[in-house]
Amino acid sequence: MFGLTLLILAASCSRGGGQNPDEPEALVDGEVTTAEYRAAIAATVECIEADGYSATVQTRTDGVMAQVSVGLSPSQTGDPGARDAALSTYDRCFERYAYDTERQYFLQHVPTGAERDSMFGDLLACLTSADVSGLTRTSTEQEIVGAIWAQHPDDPGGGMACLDHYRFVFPEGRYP
Amino acid sequence: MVIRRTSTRRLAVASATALVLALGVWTAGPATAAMDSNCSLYVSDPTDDDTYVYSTSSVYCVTVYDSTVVQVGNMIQESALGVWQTRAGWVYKYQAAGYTSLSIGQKASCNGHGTDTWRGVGEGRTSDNGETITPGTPRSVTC
Repeated sequence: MFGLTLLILAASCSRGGGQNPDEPEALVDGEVTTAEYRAAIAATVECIEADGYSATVQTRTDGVMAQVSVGLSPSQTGDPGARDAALSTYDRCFERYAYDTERQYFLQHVPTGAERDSMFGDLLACLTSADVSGLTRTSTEQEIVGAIWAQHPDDPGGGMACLDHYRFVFPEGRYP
Repeated sequence: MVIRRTSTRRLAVASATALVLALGVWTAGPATAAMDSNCSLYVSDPTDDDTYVYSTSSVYCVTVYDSTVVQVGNMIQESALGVWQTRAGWVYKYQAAGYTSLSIGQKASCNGHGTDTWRGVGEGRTSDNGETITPGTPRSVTC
């Protein structure tokens, strides 16, 4: 719990401790509800669409967080410049409307104690089924990543998908 | 953390919330969404092994009866003074139409970079030539 507290404090201070004034009011009571998080994502989508792009929201494989994607028009497909412009729109909109809310929502779902232990066990089982071997409950994230890429350098997708599915096991550093 | 409220902003939040509730789903956007709606693009958060930062992109399609995945790409960026700089450029994997999944990994050397913010960016294309991109979650990584 102490570690989680430090993580939250670090995340709160890392960008100057200030809330983006344009972001929806989700953090006033220190708790982001699902409705507030969805509202922040919806505002991000609206912002992206205002720049002429299509936007799609899907639930990440962790089952909790959202991922916003930007669609390119047929005339933009394969154009690196169009991709850069789309990324720039995404960054501006997400930073303005959702970054702080999403960070808080993520931190609220970080497990501790027995819940975290159980999720770590599920992660190890997932890695085993992805044919990544030699890992234990004492393995660090760096060791897991090293094992995935050492054992499957040409196709690390299966092991990396496990890490992403159970991303709450290793929350450190996300949303700095 | 001190947050200021204004009635205008409350109204904006209420409007956005109503929009989401009206849709009832996470998806939004006009019908011109580039990649086929039958398919989804995922990009992993950056991870490291003290030498490299890694990211993977994957496209999954529900069925083979709609457009299917023909391309997936990934690149890795590092934030330098608040500006995203590409540290490992686009890599792609291709396949013929008719398959429902495709993934690719990319890595960037982070040796000597100390603690910095990184992210992966994913790209996917479906057999109808629709293209979608999405950045992953930014993450502070120490190498």
